[in-house]
Amino acid sequence: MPRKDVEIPLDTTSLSDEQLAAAAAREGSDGPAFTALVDRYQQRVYRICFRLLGNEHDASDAAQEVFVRLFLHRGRFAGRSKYSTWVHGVAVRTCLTIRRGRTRRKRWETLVPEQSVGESTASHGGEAAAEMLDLPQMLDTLDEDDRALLIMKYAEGHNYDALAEMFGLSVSACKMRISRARQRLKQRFPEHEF
Amino acid sequence: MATDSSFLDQLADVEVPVAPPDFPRQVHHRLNHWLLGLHIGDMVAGAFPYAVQHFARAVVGLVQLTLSGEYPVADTED
Repeated sequence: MPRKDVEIPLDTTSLSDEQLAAAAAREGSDGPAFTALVDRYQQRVYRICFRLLGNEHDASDAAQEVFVRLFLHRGRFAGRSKYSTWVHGVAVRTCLTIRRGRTRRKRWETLVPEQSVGESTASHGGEAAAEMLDLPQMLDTLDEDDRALLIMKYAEGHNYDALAEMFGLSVSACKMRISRARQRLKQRFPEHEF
Repeated sequence: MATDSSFLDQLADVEVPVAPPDFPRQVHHRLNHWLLGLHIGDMVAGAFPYAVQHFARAVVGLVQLTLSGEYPVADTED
């Protein structure tokens, strides 16, 4: 006689992200709560990865890695912040790790065409640089954290509280870093208002 | 060329593609690989000390036998 599963189905559509996260912490990788979270967040996480990494292949790879980390560390979400902020923070940190690894590799291989263009033209000042560089390339002249902060602030539209949570900084430190990064861009590309 | 009021605000206008349609499947595929690796790691970490202890006891017994001519026999109650 076939065994009848006594399982209460989880109505994932009516649950908040935080409730789903709590349910996901109790279930396996193919459970309905984690699957629902992947569905809800895949576009947002992919978009952040694309903005930070700049191409579809790396973005897809990084976004998958983000969800693996979310699953493996699902018990660490303590509910102090919104779940979405926590997810975005994991996405940012994953992408920063990938970019730092990529920069190290580039340094070893001495294949830094984009950055060397950015740095050399920036050091020679404004107009030539502006003609040769678009905005993402200008951002590449900043260090990784500052670049990510600007992208999350201006491209993704997060406020300082959320940025502080994502980057593990205080709100005032976030403001300071963004202000200094903009200052640096102004100095390098004086013909633009940053 | 950009006009200057809010050059950084143009970042929001950068076109971003959508995630691939089979993205959730890829996530679960990668996750399963991770979990398999972690389980194998756990198993190796648990089995390795046991195997080392097991073989070390045999080696110590062999050395003892070589030196003393007696093999250590565990006490048994008849």
